[in-house]
Amino acid sequence: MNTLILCVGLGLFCLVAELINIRKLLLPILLVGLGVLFVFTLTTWGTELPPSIWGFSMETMIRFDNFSIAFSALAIFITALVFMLAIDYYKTEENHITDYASILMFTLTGALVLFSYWNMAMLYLGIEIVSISMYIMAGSRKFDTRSNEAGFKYFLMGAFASGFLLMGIAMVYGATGSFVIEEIALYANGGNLSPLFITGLVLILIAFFFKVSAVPFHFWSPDVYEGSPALVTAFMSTLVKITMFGAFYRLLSLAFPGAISEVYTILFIVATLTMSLGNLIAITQVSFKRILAYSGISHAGYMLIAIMAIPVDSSAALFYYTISYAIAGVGIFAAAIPVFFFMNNEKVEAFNGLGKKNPALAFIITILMLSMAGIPPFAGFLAKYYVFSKAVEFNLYAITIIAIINSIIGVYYYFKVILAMYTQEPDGIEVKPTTLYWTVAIACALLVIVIGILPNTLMGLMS
Amino acid sequence: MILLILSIGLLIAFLSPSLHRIAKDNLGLLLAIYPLSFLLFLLSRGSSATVETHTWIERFNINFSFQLNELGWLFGVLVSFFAIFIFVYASKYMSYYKGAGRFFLALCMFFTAMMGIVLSENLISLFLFWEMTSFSSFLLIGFFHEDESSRRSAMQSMVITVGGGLFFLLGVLLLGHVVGSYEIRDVIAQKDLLIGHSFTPYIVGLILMGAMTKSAQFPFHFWLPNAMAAPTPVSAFLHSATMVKAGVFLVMRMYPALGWNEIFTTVLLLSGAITMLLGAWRSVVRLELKAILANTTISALGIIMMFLGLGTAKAIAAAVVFLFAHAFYKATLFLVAGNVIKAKKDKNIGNLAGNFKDMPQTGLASWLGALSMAGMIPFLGFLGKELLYGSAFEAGSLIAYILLGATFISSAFFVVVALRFSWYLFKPGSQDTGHELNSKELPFGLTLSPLVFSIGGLTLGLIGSLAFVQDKIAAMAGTILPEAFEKVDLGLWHGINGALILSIITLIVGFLLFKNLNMRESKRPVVGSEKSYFAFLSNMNKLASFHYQQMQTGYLRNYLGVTLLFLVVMIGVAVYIVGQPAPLNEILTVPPEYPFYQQVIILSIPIAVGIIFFTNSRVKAIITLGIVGFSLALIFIYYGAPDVAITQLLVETLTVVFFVIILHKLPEFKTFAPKYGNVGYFVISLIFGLAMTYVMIQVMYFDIPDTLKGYFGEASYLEGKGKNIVNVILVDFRALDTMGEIAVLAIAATGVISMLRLKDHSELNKSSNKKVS
Repeated sequence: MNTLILCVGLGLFCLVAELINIRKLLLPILLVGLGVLFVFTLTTWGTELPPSIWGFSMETMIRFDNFSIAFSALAIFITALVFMLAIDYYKTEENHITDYASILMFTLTGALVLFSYWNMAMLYLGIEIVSISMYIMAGSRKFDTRSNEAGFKYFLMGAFASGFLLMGIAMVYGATGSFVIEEIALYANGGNLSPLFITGLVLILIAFFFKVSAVPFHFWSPDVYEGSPALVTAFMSTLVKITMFGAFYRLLSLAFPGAISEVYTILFIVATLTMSLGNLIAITQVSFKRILAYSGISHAGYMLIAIMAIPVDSSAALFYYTISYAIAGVGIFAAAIPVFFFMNNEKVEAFNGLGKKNPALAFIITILMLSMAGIPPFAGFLAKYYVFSKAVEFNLYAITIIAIINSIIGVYYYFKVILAMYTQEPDGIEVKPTTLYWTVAIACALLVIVIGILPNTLMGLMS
Repeated sequence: MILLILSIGLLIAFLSPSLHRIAKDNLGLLLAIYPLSFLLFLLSRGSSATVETHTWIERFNINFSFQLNELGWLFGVLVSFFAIFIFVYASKYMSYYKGAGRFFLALCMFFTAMMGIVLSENLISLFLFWEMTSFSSFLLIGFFHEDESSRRSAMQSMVITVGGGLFFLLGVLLLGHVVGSYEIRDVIAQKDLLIGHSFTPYIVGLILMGAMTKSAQFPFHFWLPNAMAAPTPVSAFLHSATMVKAGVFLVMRMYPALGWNEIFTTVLLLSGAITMLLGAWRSVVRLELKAILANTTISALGIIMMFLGLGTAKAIAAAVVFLFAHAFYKATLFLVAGNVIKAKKDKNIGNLAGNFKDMPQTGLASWLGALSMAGMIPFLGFLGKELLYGSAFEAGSLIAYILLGATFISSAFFVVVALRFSWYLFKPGSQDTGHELNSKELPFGLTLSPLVFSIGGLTLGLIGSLAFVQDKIAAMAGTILPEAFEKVDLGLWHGINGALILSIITLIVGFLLFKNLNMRESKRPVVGSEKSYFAFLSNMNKLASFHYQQMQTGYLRNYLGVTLLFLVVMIGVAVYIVGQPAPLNEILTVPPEYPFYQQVIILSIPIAVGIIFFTNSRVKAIITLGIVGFSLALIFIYYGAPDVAITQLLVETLTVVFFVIILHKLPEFKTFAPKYGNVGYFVISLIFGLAMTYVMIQVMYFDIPDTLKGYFGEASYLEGKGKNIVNVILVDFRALDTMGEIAVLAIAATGVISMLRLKDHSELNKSSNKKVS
């Protein structure tokens, strides 16, 4: 609970910072604040304190368990990494950094809510906090029409999804008479589910498919990723995606454990489409951000497999997957944004000859790409392995085979970038990332290796 | 200990670009210490049954465990022996090129991975090293050539071998599921669990997928000749002597666990036989030196797989010996080819006729290697072929004789290739070949290794009759097929028997073919599996660009169209899940009895929707949209939900105002959609509307649990002291929510006001521009 309050406080502080004119100190202070938040979150590990504000119990609204603490810590960490990039990123931008910073902090707040909600109202609230913040961020380059278009598209599609979510929640409420997770679970486990309940669940699923950009609800994501400022794309493709998956998992595993088998077919179809189409289209893309958008879509497909395996408790698998995905994602952006900047080009060809121009940067990108592609010994491989082994444990063979074929296709386009870096001729423009970009990129690459080689602690967290 | 060595190896690999700055052109020599020490370690340790285990991921039973059983140990010795001299060769070879640091990085990584494969006891860690070899092979093929085709071959070999590896992983996962352990010794000990299990065919198939892709077996054979874009030492080391043998090694390693399975042996026999003949034929119709060798490699791998599939004790021993023979002569010939290409700057065998004395050392190596390949006494190649023939004779079955015939044919083609390499490239004497002699012997660094390999093949042939060699081979074959191995007879002379006679006939036929077969290139038609590989790729591309152009258009309306149609499908699935649909005809036959003014309201909604679709004016569209909203509000009022109606009315009003303001600022209306494009959207909307209506009818038909109704009915009266339940809920139970709603409306209204006061930005810009100009 205190984490949440502190987080909101940091967001408000950002707004005040503009007034009292301490813009320059803002990001260092925020980083320290996030550090405190991170440590604070970790200290609550395993305690499961009943949440309360000034003595009012919030038990039917929000619960903090190890699942939410683990995901929250991850989200805080990712946000901190993105803020480190923001310091240099917004130096060259028009300066509204306090606004952006506060919006990012509020997004984080929404994420924390989404990892720990115990009530459908909180779920809706969390999703809207995250989404509305991201609509604004996507359109935050006021005079760039592509950014405007991205923000608007994101908003329209997102509003559509929110509508479905509300309708679904209302129907579930109608069937169960409660917004509280455990009471819904009681009903769901009771058997003999009413059609109202199933319809509500399907509508909620649709909303989440939108939010995690599963096929065929994915159309917004490539356009929005491409149009938004690169840093926002980084934030969207990592933090927002894992947030939505955390919330999705929490909902299905806590509120609807008895009903998952009912919607298994839908999950199967969507997961298959998501993996396959995402991968397939990524092959033909020339824009780097679009490749990442489509690869993000296909990763959503793999994570959906973890959702399908909820009955064998795949929370640790999902967590491990999100960690490896988000860290590799932030790292890639940390290494790619300087390339975009210096080459003034966001296509794959901007990476041509990077292996000769800046071997260290190319090496880091290679490691992160390999992890994304699921090549051992990097974290991305074990993440896939964990999810697949959970799927096999739950006898989901068909989807596992589809996922493996997709991993092979994935190899293809990740290596296209690697090949471009090493076999194409450089064009003479130097790429010199600043220290902070270097720090984040190197940290992510190291983490991907360390998590990949020494996974035991992380994997043991949930169980 | 083994893990430590492998880790140090990886460390060395990553240091090699830095070491390159210090050691310069001698980097290879320096790094050769690594395989050398590995070799010494193996020799000093000797083979043993002990297993070295390091727990890695406990929850998955994944350990880094290693063993030094006879099979792994001998493979390890072979690989590290080859590695030493390949490193020495590459040291000199790479001094002609840029990027030696990166080259050795990949090469060291590959060597480490290969040692990891042959020494692994845990199947998962074996898989890890397996993928590492694919990856380093990719680096080695792709990184040193800047033309498009070699990049594509690198990608192709990568996709096929990594893909095969992933299927292998799935097989391993299933295997672990059945047996409960990934340790190979456990799998072998509990192979009874696999017999008759319904998973077994899949496990066998998936594991074979891994082995066959790696060892370039039909139908995955096509990547290997394309991989010849790699530098010569790589071709010699990875693509003939070691990496492609990993598939064979895997089959041997899994043989005790899966060898009883008929699918396993049949697939090996069939695909081995096809691969062998295909490779042999292709090797004589190619002119490029390395392509010729690549095809004979494919053929040789086919022979080994096939004899493993035959599965008698003798056949397996023969496969083992042939494997060694092949490694020695093929590495030799690859390095020879590399030297010739380097010296004469041409890789087409038709232009390369030369004399022995032009390049005596390379020539000597070439002759020795070629003789072994042809199966001439007393080379190791001879022993291998004798054993192959002998085991086929001994097995005696019909299949065995068919195999014998096939082996005979390929061996004859091997003789042709061997003669082309030796007789044609390095003719004894000094006749005028009609070609300009621009070649001199290459430096010692480039001739040492082929000589070592070729002499190695000869030596092993000669010492084959020594007891300890035979014991080693027998022990190795014994780990593959534990039954009945005491010793393998590797004597050169067994008297005149069928195998010997057939050997002699092979040589004669081969010689005749060499004399009579024209050296010509039959332009390789892209057929069979390679064709389907490319067809698959291009179809994927087509599908992707179709999707991209037709769906990801950037227009929201298209996105919504597709999404809505899919939603209808999902609703269909959901209805199917719920089952027992409401009797529609029963519901629909009830005649609607609405008063007149209600009918007007109800009818005005579809009419308004229709106008929206076909109007050309924005204002009309907005107003008709407003009609829909207001009609809805009226319906709410009629059904006793005044609060909802009020909210709806307010929202509608605000929306219309908003829209009008925005429209005011927008440029003229333009239709981007084709003239009748709207019809499509109309149909989609109609379908979606019908589907949603259907859902609502379904939902309402079934009893809605009345817990809420009861609770609020009671509580509003008793606790809220009110009779209008909705009102009590609004102002009592959900008072804060209502306040929030009002606040939201207020904020929205503020937004409208601020927009009204907003100055036109474009005009501002225009005026400022004017000032500047």
